[in-house]
Parts: sequence; C-alpha cells; structure tokens
Amino acid sequence: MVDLRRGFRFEGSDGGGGSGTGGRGCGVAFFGVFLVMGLVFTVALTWAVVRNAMVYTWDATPATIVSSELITRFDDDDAPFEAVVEYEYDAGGARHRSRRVMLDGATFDDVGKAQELLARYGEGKAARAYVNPRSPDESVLARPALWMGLFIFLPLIFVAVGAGGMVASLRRGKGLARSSVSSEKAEGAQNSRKVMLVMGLAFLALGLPMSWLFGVRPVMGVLAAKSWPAVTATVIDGTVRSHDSDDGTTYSVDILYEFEYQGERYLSNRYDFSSGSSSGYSGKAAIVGAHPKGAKVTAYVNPSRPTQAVLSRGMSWWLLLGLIPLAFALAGVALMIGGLRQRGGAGERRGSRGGLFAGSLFSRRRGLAASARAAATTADWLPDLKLEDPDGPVTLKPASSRGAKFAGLLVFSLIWNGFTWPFFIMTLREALAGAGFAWVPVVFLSIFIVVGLVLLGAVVHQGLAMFNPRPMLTVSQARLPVGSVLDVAWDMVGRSGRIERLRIVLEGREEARYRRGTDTVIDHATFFEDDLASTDDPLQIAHGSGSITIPPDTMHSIELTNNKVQWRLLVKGEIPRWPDVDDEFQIVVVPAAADAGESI
Amino acid sequence: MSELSMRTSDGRTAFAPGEMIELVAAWSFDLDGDGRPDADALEARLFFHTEGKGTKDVRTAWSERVEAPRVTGEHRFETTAPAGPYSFSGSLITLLWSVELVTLPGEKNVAQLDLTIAPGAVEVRLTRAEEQVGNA
Repeated sequence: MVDLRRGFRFEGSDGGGGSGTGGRGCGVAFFGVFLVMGLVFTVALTWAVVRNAMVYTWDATPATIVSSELITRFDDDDAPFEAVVEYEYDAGGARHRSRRVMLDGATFDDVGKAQELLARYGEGKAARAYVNPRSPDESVLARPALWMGLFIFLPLIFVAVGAGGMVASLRRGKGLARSSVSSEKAEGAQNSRKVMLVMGLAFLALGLPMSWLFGVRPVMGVLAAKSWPAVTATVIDGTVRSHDSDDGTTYSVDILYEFEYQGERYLSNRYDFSSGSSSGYSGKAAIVGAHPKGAKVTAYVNPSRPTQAVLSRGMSWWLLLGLIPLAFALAGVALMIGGLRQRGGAGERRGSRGGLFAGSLFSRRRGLAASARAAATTADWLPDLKLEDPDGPVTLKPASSRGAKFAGLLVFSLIWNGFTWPFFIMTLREALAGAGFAWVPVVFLSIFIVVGLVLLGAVVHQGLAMFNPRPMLTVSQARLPVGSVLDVAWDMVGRSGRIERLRIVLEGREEARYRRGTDTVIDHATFFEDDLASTDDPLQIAHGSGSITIPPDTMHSIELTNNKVQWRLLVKGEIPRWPDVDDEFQIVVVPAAADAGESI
Repeated sequence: MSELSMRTSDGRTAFAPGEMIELVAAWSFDLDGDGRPDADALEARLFFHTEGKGTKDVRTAWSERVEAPRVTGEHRFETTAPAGPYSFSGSLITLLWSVELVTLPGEKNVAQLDLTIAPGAVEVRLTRAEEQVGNA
C-alpha cells in the first residue's frame, strides 16, 4: 500500500564543514576532558561551599582566648605563618578547649593576615565560638566566607561546553554517516553559535577575575601605595620560596621584616604587590640578596591597615601578566559578540513608511509584480526589512547608525586605553629613573599604546562624521523584483553645502561567511555597481531623485545563515578636510513574478 | 545492496520557476533476515544548498513520502519549481537545487539528481563588478 504525504515547506539547514570519524573522535575526546574536569571541579566546589555553609548552622557560644601566638614554619613554602589561638568554651554541659580558629586552619603565606587574626583573638580577650551541636568538641572562632559559592557557575560553564561539544561532535558524525545533503541539519551552525556564546562566557568569567587578581588589584595597590608613609624596617629573614605546580616550579620573593608604626610593632613579608609566583629564580634571588638579615630598609605602610606593608611600591614588568587574563576576557567578549551575530537575521535594517514623496512620485509603480512580492513574504531566505509595507514608498534608515558606531568605538577605545596607559606611564617612569631593563616593557607596551592611539583617531574621525549631513533616502519600494525600476529620492539633512561631490550607488554583492581556524571570516564580492546619481551641483546634492533598473538577468537577494546576496544603496559625499559622508541602505530584490508564487 | 534512482520523466534537469517537475523514483531493496525490505519508507526531497567559500547552507523546499514500499518499485512525484531562490553561480557562492530520494529510517541509501531552477531555465551567473568593467 502506498501512502503519500504531501507538503511544501522550507526546512533550514546549515551544514558545517566536513570532518571524518577521526575528527569526531577528537571532538568527543576534547570536549570530554572539558566535561570531566568541569564535573570534578563542580563537585569539589559544591562540597566546599556546603561544608562552609554548615558552619552557619552551628551554635554561637561565648569563648575565652587562653593563648595567642604567631608560629613561623620556614620549611613550608606555601603557608609558613600560622595564627595559633587556644580558647575555651562551654557546650553540652562541659568545658571544652580548642585550637581550631578556622575550618581549614589559620595558616597564611602573608604574615599580615595572621597578625590581623591574632589581633582579633588576643590572649585574655572574650570571643565567640561556633560549636557543632552534634559534636560539641568541634568548633571554630571565625566562620568561613561564603563568597566562594558565587564561583560555582565557573566549572558549570566547562560542563556545559563539554557536554554541548560532545553532543555536537556525535551528531555531526552521525550526519556525515549519511550522504543525504538535505539532512545536514542546522545544528552545526546553531551549535557553533551556542558553543561560541558559552566559550565566550567561560573566557569572560575566567578572564575578569584573573584580570582583577593579577592586573587591576596590583595596579590599584601600586597607585594607592604612592601616598603610604615610609618607615624604617629591619629584615628578619629572606628567602626565595619555590612552589611546585603542574607547569613546573615557580618562585616568589619572601622577605620577612618588622617595623613600628604609631607605637605598634608589625611584621610583613610582602615585597611588592605581585600575586602568586612565577618562573625565573635568579631575579628573585637577587632581590632577596639585596635585603640581607638585619638590614635597615624602607617599608611603605598602609595607614588604614598597618599589617599591609611593602618594600617596593613601584611598577614592575610582572604586572604585564595582568594583560594576559585581560586578553582572555576580551576574547570572551569577542566570542560572545560573534555568537550573537550568527543569528543571521536582518534586524539591523529597518525603515519607516512615508517620507519625501510617499504616495505620489512612486505610487505608479505599486502593483508591479505584486504576485512575486506577495509570494516573497513567505520566503524565509529573503532578508526581512521589518517594514509595515515594504512594497510602498519607504524612507530607508541606514544599515548602521552613526551614533552606535561612535559609541561602540568610544567604549572599546576607553577600555583599551584605560588599561594600557597606566601600565605604560608607570613603566616609563621607572625606565626614565634608570631602572636597567625597565625599557623592555616600555617597548612592549608601546605596541598597545599605538593601537590605542589608532582607536582614539577612529573615535575622533567617527565623532566628526556624526556632524555630517544625513542622507534621507525614499524609495518607491524597499522590496522589488529583478528587472524592475527603482526610484530614489534623496534629501540631505544638514549643511549639504559642505559636500563637494555626491555619489549614490546601487550595489549588489555576495557575502560568504566561513571558519578559518578559530576565526570566523566574512568575504564580500561585488557583482553589480552602478551610479544612480553622481553630481557636484549643490542643488542636486541637497535634493534630487533618480531611477535605476535592477538588471533582469541578475540575482535577487538571499539571506541564509552563512551566505547572502545583498542589494544596497551607498551614499558617498566628499567633504574637503573632513570625514566623508558614507552611509548605506539596504533594499531587497526578490525573484521576478512566477506563476507558482506559493511555492517560494 | 539496495539500489535507488531518481530522474525526471522527460530527462530535463533545468526548469524555470513555476514549471512542473515530474520525478520518477525507482528502487530495489535488499531483504533483511525476516525477508522484509530494509526500509520502512522512501522520501523524495527538493532542496537547495550552497557551495563555495562560505559554510554550506541547506534548505528543503518540498518533500513527499512513500510509506511501506515494496521490495522493488517505481513511483512518480510531481512538484513545482519554486519561484526562488534562483540557481546561481558567483565569485563566492554557488546555489544549487537538487532532488534526492532517501530510505527511512536512517537514510542509509540516497539517490540525488542536481537541477537548475532559474528564469529561462538557465543558471544566473554573477561576475565581479571590476571584471565587468574590464570586459566592457
């Protein structure tokens, strides 16, 4: 028995590039690592957050500090300073004694933090202990912070990328197992968009905190320390600490020194504002060697928090490391923008009905090839101008607004220059002060400065262009069939007398988007270009009209996810010693009338 | 191995928009272990796809299914050449129309026939604007 099911439909599909089963396997393995790592970190982080949160359910009980002292373990490179506090409290009908200050111990790499804890829990002071009601022996003095819970989403991003990537890889592989071209589903492009968005979010989520930690915070510290008072400090001990990690051994400077500030004695082991450790031993050994035990040195003390002090408050090359996570964050923004722009819609082109000659000059052309236009309204491969009546006289709006261009350039330029100039100025000062190799980072940063200057130039150029006369284009219809005549009337709003020469060009072009490595590349090729108007007559520049025929044997507009044929009106006005008028307006050319219009 | 074929009834492969396209599908299925054909259905599809520099886009315009086909058989389909998009070839993009016949489920077997759908049944050719100027 034969059962026929008929139907006309357009099902979107955007096939990706091909890859064999090897590529699929690599994709699954690559994203599998993301998934596993993400899951491991999610579980670990969740467990830690829940464990910390449980302390907030414990009973608060008065406690007495019995003893309080700082212990230094010079053999511990990661956390050599411990605040040892012994305290007593009553719970469960008995007296208890404990040395557990914090849930995970009170050891620090920064002696200042240990001092702050000891100051808070000094010997003989009254305090509050938090006691586990199910086990009164278990208690802490300081409850853990819960901010770590904010970062649970970070490993979840990796889980999402891993799971999404694996599914996409497996599906792509299945699709290729068939040889049906029409079954290469749109998931390739859709997944690519989702992956770009999620990857962008991951880059941003990692890049921003890392930029803060390694870039912004140290720089803010350097800037703030410029006004910190200087005191004389005595070096107690100095060493280069080594830290083992997956990437090998890294090193950090650790110089312990004491000083007096406002009658109180303090310890600090901070040399400068760097965070963490890095490779390179000799430079750090030289710093430690320059600060021998017993040496009198100058320390800079934070007046509002004297446990914070540094020996060096200058800019140093390692602060450039802060640019690396910033690059990650910017890459994340770029990925997200790229993902959002993959929608393939035509939302940026809008227009409004009416205008200069609405219902008069162009009205005679209404009704031409109406069947083709009516059919075109159902074709999802045509650009959608989002007009109430694109088949009537319409005043077009430019494809992109001058204000939006200016704002985008301005914001990007401010961010770029805001990050690069402080680094550049500080390194330049150090270099001018004769700090040996300090010219190396100056030269390196100069590249970023030049880019920033070019950006500023572009902002100025776009800012000036905002004051240019604005072309108002009214067309007989914004959607017309191939072979028909397009009537255009223009009105230059503003000081049109500044324009020496005006050209209005009708252009047809192909646009192809494709992946090259990790980049998305868009290529254009113009296949039609003809002047609708070209004049240096001031009156004609200010107001005018013209007609142009869309060739009957040309290609109509199409808008697919990766491939487009676009028809545009380009308005180019030459202004001496000023940015030129350069605006573009989109129209839609549809197929000529066909008997089977409904089949589009 | 199962065999599928797809052709137009008159042998033409180029059509103007709105023209009727009559397709003839023929098949011969292998039998599975139970002596049944290894496909539950056949589906004919008319679709366009792009080739060239850009990532491929594919859209299906029409499809029709034959449920429970016999082991061997032939079936005629009729559809209308869509009004667009036209078959065209440019510097960056080539848009092609095709019909294909696939077995379901799994689409394990496919037969494909490329068509031209454009005014005058002739593919639209686009050349770069500068080449046009050069040739003039």
